[in-house]
Amino acid sequence: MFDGTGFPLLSDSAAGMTADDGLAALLRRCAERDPLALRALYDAMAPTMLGIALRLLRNRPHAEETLQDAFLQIWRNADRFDTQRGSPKAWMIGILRYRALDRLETEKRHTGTDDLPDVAAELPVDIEDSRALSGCINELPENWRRSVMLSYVEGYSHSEIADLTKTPLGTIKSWIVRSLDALKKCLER
Amino acid sequence: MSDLVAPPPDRAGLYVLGLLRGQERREFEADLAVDPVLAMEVAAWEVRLLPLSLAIAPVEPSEAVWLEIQRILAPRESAGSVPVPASLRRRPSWRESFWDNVAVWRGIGGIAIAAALAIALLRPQPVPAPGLVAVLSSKAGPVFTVALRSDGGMNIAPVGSIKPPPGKVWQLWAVAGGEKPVPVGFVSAKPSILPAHQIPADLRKPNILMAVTVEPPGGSPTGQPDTPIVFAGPILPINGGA
Repeated sequence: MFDGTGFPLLSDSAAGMTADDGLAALLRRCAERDPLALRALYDAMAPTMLGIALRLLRNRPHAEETLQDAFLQIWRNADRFDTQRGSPKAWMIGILRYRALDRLETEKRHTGTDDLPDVAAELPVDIEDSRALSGCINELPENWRRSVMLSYVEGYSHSEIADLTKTPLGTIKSWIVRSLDALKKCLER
Repeated sequence: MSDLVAPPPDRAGLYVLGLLRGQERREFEADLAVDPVLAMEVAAWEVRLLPLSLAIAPVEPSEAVWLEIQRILAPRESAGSVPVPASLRRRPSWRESFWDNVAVWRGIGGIAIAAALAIALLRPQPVPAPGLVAVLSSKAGPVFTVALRSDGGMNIAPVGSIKPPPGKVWQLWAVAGGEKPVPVGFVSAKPSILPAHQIPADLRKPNILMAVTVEPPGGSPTGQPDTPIVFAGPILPINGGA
């Protein structure tokens, strides 16, 4: 029992269960209209999702409204989550991101007068369990990498990145397209 | 990287980066709705880039966010006011001591975890730390959910309605591999909030086993568990990758 020797479960930590399995099952329960499952999803994911929304919107009230909208949409569309299709975390975070982008588009937050966020200081980001992506991101030339981070993490558009970095728009577009191509190839290696 | 010819734009990738805007985005989303291949490409990019999102520091929402969600869904879909589904009300046969039977623990699946998580924390409470949870299960299924807060406290919610044996209490332990169990509080048949710093910081991490034993009131007199584990489960990260 508690003899301090051998906790086989610890080496087999999740006993076959992953957090993703749990989230996917919670989404199924939301699809069956179990509101308790929504609360559990919220407890598990809301802090992560608010952090992401804040980076995109840089406005706490807007970020919290977006988080709220995202959870209402998760509740209403839970039956559309397809386990075969992918990760429940990616699905939920995707919903949040697209709602945040809606907000960015309507509010035209980025006026071109923003200071350039010091994304370089944050790279390589602390990407646990994703050495592959981290490695591939770091293989990109610095300008490309910065453009990817400014768009995905900070929510800037092509033209905003061009303004911020004082780089021609066509060059930014080309860096992004090449970055996507390079990342895809790198991750498939 | 030295390609001279630019590759064709990857619309799915641009969409997931957030770089399709306005009309371009609306057209893409219209295509997406009717093109399963495109939807798969988008999902693949969402998964590829997910670690960048998960690397962003979590921020705890104010309580008002959940209250507003609840208000909007009420009364039709009142979150938190619906009785526990019958399927979750099973009473685990905790008379059995099964600690020695590792296969039992291995057999407790993700559904059980989710079912238990679904019961967690119905009222506005301190929001847990970003995604550290443990589901304490018996052979028959989940019994408690434990959500760890960043301050070392815990929100604990029972699944169903079992009680400890008459005259006994349930004592909660945190166990690191090869180490003596550390008592971290008590759980009861009701939802409870254990105060901050109940769990030492070095035990507040994935794969630490949370376990419950039946002890006399006040806890084990020896400071160590004297009886078999009745429920247990490892701390799991919600954000720890698939």
